[in-house]
Amino acid sequence: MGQLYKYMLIALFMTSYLILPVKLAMANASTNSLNIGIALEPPHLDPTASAAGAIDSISYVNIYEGLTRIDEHGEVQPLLAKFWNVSKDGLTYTFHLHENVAFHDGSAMNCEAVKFSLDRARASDSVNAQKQLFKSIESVNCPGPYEVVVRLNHRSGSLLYNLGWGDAVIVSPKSANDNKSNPVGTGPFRFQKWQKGQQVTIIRNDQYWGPKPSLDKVAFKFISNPNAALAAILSGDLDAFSGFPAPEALMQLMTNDQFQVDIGTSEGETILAMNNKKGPLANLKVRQAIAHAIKRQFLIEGAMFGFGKPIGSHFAPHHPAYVDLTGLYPYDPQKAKELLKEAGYEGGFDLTLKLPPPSYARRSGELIASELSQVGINVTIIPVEWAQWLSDVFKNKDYDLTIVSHTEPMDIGIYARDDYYFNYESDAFKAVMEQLERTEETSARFELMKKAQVMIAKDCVNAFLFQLPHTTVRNAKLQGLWVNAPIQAIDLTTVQWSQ
Amino acid sequence: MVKKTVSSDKRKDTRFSELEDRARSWQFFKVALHSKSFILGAALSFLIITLGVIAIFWLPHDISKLSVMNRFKAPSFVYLLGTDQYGRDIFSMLMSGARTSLIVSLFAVGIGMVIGVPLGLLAAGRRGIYDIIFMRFNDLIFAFPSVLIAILITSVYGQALINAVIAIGIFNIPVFVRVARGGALSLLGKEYLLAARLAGKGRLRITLEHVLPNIANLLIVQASIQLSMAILAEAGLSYLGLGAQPPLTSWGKMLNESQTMISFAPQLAILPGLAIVISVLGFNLMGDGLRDLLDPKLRRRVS
Amino acid sequence: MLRYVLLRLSSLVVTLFIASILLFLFIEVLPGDPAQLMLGMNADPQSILALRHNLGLDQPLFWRYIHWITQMLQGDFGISYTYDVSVGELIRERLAVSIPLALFALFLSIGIGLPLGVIAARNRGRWLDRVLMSTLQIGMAIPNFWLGLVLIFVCAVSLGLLPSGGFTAWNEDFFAAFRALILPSLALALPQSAIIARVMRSSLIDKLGEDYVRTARAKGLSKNRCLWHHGVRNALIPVLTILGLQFSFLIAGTVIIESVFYLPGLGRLVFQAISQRDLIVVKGVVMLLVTMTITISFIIDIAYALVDPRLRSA
Repeated sequence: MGQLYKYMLIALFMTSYLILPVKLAMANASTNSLNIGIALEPPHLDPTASAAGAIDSISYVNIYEGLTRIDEHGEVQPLLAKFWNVSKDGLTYTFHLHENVAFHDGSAMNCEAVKFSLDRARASDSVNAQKQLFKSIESVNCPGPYEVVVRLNHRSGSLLYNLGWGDAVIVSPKSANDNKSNPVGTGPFRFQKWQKGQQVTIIRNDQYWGPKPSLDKVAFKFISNPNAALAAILSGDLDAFSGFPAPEALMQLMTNDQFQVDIGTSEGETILAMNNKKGPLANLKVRQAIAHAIKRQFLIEGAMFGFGKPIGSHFAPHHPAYVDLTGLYPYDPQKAKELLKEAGYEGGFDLTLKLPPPSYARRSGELIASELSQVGINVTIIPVEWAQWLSDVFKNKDYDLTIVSHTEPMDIGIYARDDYYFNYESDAFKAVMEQLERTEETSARFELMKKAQVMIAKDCVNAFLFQLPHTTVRNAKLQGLWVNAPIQAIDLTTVQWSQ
Repeated sequence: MVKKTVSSDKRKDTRFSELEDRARSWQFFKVALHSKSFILGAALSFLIITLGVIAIFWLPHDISKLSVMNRFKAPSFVYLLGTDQYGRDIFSMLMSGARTSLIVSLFAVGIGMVIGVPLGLLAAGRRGIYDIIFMRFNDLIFAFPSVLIAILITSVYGQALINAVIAIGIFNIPVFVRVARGGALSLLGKEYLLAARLAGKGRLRITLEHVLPNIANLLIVQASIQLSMAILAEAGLSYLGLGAQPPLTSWGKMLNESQTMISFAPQLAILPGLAIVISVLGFNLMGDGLRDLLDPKLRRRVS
Repeated sequence: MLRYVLLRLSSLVVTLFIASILLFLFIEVLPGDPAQLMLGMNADPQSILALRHNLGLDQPLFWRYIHWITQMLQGDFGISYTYDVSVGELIRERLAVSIPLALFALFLSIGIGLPLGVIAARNRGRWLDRVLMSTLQIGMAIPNFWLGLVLIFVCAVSLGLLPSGGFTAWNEDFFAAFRALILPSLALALPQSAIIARVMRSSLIDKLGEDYVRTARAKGLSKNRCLWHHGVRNALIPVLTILGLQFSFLIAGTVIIESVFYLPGLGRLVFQAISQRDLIVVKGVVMLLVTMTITISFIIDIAYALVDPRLRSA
């Protein structure tokens, strides 16, 4: 009976594959609406009160706008601020705002609103998740309704970039407290409806101050189950999926003319983080041995089905200041064993590996555990949820190894933080970061960044694995979505259906 | 024809004889060997159990060694059913999955029996307030949504096999309380119990020597049904990513990991699904076969 | 009778009280801080403290329990930590998916299961019965999420007949909402219908063996009429008992199917709330489900006692 059943099922799958290419996945091409999938549902829609990336995916530059914005290439562009002047000493920034800009609630966007927004984010009782972005700000003042003066307490090379983050968007003083459930910004789309557990719908803002977008209605659907995501794309229920959760299915989609797969860059450095103060891992040789034991190509092939770039330090390969350090610790199990022997761990030892939920982490974890066992390190895998990861690993540093992707842009500075979960302490590195913060000239900044990359790679703070790709699957007729993700955003302003 | 051994008129005479009662309780296992569904069920269960037990000691290939170069190999003499996305032998994975399924379901049903049966017997023996408390306790456990509580348990205590066992086991307790209580109550009027009591035997002794052997058949039938349900429950939990963790594997986990590869590697999703179906079918058929033979009404008509 | 009802009612209240304490304590030991989770990796410790205070997480355990239980008694489930809307509203939204889904699955399983059971019973012992019974055995052994995957693949992806998942609100597009529930309810219903068919078959065979049915046959009632008039109606009682049990399972136990079809149902709400440490939602929904089940079993007990006075002594 079982045998018969098996053949029946196989026959069923086979037939369905014969039918598959015939079917047309054209749901919305004729209209101007868009159904786009994202993996995670945001907890709420206020980017100034949570670190959840899904909030930015939906709202950044679609609903909310900041003084500046970060574009597809990671460059700072003006947005609500038309232009700005910087004083000679670099401590005073004067922003000149666009006039005639209104929030979706009808109130005017002016210096009052900007001052309100920035002060709110900086306040001592603020729940902003990226409060450090505003650390350099001394005061915000309004000499005129459309002129904002920001004074700094020290020179800052990154202020304009920081103000382009989703956490720094300008909100309306009138409705700021309701933004979690009824987001109000100045953007080209306004919030329409949130069907919890299902989708958020936004519609075109016809009063928008800038060029109007082509789409009139966009539904963000939340699908975390990879199979459901694939089925929704194949069946045409979705027009696009940003951050497609099933890399193993991409090849299949690429060979299908109806779909376009964009493999872009993201800011996600995926690392095997090591607790630099715990047991054998405090020994540089042990950490180097671990780095030597890992073959990045296999990892990228096995966990990501070939999609992802190897990295040798905590830095995005597409950044102009990137240094390729992947050759520093090449795959060499023999060398790894020798290093372990030198460190006095010839007989091998046990480590735990705590893995958060994303599939890149779980899959890489299985592969790495297998690789490390070949050099004598016995790894126990402990899968954890995000909540537990944050409290066990991140906060209490109760871990040996973990795999995680650091998705914040330009976040090499975390290695200079006291008490960060890597338990890495280097005064030399801190000095470089300090210098970087105060340097404004680009080429000098790049030199410092390069220096920083080499330092942490030499100290082998973590094993640096690969840069997470940003994969977008879309209907071939849909155009204008970002290929790269320099910040977590799905900018819909220029997205349109081709004829 | 064999079933005539305990025909209805004969039963009437032997109603008060314990020996006959007990013999009937065990005899049906012999009788069961003549039931087709029992035999098929037993054969399938035996297959799964054998694979699972072997997997505890030996696997054809080491599934903790991953080799990306080896992935998606077609079936061969080296890899009986081919290899998966990490180059692991699928047959070994299925065996390891059988082991997980068996361990979880046996221990979960074991928890249910070890805790549930004494409680049920106590409720039946003492009646009164004990009975009321135990039955309310039963209602209480039944009232909690089992899947959600299982998810909660694994969130609290970590995603390990033991927690899947506990989560599924808890919800087996009330089932066995009910069966044991019901079975024991039906024996209450029997004369041999009275005789034993008159002979001065204590409650515990009577329970162990007279009640338990007489409800063993009921418990075994229920256990085989609970086993199949536990296998399904474990598959569901591990499909959600809870339960067995590498280097162990489980059929539900295999299904979860391969579902998006149906288009180019359908066997990866079909085989573990099939394994679940076969083992659940096996235990169900076995339980059914046993129950049919137990049920006097049904037996009367068949004979 | 009144004494029995009162006794039963008081035990209902005590059971609910114990359930609430168990649930509360159990959820309080969950590792992980909701505030840390909400603010993420770069969060400032001060921001986290501020958020913990806003959420009332810095209060002592006992007061939080009292606060929660008094709120619940007034029908207020509290405010979700993550969504920042009332939990009651969240539950209402989800029930608009979960209850219709459970009902569809129930109707489908009855619609498929009952006729099959009757056909099998009527052809008892013949090949049709054997084929049906073996098919049903397999049907019972198929995990519903696996069936869901196959249905998505065949009906949605390959044939494009139905949506692959998701849900449109009823008031937005009634027909689309209905279509969205067809595949998931089928996946839930097919294994269930196998159980119903089997129970129906054996119960019907049982009833047909009773003396009054034989008498009716002897009096010249045709086989079909007899089957219908005396058999099916009486045989329905055990089937109804099973259905009662299934309904409460269907309301909350469908997390897996909801995840396969990404339906915004009650089960997935709790699943998500657990991983996001939205404890107030978890407590609220689970307590609601527990209350519902205990109340249903209370009503059933009272109903049985009304019918059969012997049971009142228990």
